[in-house]
Amino acid sequence: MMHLYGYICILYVLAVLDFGCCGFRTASGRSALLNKYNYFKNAVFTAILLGHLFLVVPMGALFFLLESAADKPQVVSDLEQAMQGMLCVYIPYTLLFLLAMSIRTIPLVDCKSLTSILLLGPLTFVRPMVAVIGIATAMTFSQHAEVFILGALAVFFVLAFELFMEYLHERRGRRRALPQS
Amino acid sequence: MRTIYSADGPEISDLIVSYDGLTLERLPVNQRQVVEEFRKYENNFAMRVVEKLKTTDGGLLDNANIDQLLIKVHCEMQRLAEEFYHGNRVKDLLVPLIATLRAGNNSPIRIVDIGCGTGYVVRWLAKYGQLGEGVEVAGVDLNKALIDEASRLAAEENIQCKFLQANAFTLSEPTTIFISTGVLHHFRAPDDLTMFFRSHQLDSVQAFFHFDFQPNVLAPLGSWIFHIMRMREPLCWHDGVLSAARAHSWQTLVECSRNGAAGFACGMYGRKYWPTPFPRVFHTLFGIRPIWREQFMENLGICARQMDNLQ
Repeated sequence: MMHLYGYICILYVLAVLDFGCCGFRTASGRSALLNKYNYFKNAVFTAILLGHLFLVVPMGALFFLLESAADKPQVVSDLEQAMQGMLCVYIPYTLLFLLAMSIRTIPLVDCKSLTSILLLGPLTFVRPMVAVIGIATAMTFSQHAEVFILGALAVFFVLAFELFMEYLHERRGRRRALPQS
Repeated sequence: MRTIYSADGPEISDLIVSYDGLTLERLPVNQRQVVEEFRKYENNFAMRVVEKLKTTDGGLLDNANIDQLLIKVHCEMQRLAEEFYHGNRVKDLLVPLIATLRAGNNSPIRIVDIGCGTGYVVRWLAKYGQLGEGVEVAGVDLNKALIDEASRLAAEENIQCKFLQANAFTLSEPTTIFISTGVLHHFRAPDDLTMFFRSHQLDSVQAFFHFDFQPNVLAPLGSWIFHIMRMREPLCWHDGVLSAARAHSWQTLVECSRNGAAGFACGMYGRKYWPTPFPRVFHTLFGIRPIWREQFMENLGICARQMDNLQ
């Protein structure tokens, strides 16, 4: 069981990182001020907090599955293998992202912008595909339909979160654009 | 996709606003005429974007709505400028240039950003540029709404710079350095481009440099990925990709600048990610009065290797 919770913890950390990045991305391009430190700080923290709401359903489903499974050891073993499969895809993706971020600390403008061109931009572009590939990989390790549904649910909520954040920003923007009465 | 990548047609932002060349007064724009213009190029995407724009009863585009859209578009464009550290790139050229012009001369230096939009570069230079005493940075644009927004943003962060709705070449105060970003590709015909450079030949102007997309085989695809990923307005997607597809080659830029700005030594700066052979997203057309050339190249230091054939 410890193994399973270890995988859950790693996936949780990756999800939180993804929520933070979503917060940054969805807030970008909406403020034309130069100093946006506080703006982005708030956006990232808000996204991380709101993101947890999107974890409730998949986490709840996971624990429900664990509690209600007739063949618990088999389900746990399946889940462990499925999560291992997901991590085989998500960890390299995350490492590439962290590599890009660490290169950006080099104080050379060309280095920083090259990371955008070669890594950050393309990584954002392939993110939905990576999420789906992670689940597909997980499925190759599992025989339980419930595990597949759980994985699909998790990916759906993670991807839907970005759309939700975009919607929130748009709504806030529209409200600001309304003439003052 | 084909129509978006067609370099023949105009950008949406070229057609949805129009100004009187002399008074800079906003002229009404008929939505149907703009749609028909894009129909000529079979540009269905642009037609759809324009058809969705708000109009007045007479079928004219609603100016207030267009201005709001353009402010939003410039805000999204600023995101790319920030991601690519554009402010730093402008500063990297300005600092040695100012040092060159300062040699034995303490008269004020006035830098004017042509087509500044919401003034990102101007505000960035004024806030972080450390350009020294006696250097004034100003932005000009034909669109009053963008200028008002630029002024508002500068005031909100207490940044000392000026924004004017004006023709950059007929300003009352003398300009020392002209700069711009993403403006050159809007002059389609080489004659128009040459004319633009000819306008630089004012007595006060000592140098100019203009950043623009560098065309290459991968530029439209790269631009498409970045605009889809980083921007939300369909107008941005369309115009951003088209800008990359129809940008002028460095040969055209150099030729037109040498023909137009005859009193300047002109060359390209920063075409490649030095020391690699990979092309940069933006390249820079650089022009300087010949008397300053040697000193400027010396002040550029190691970066002088990025300057091609300044003559």
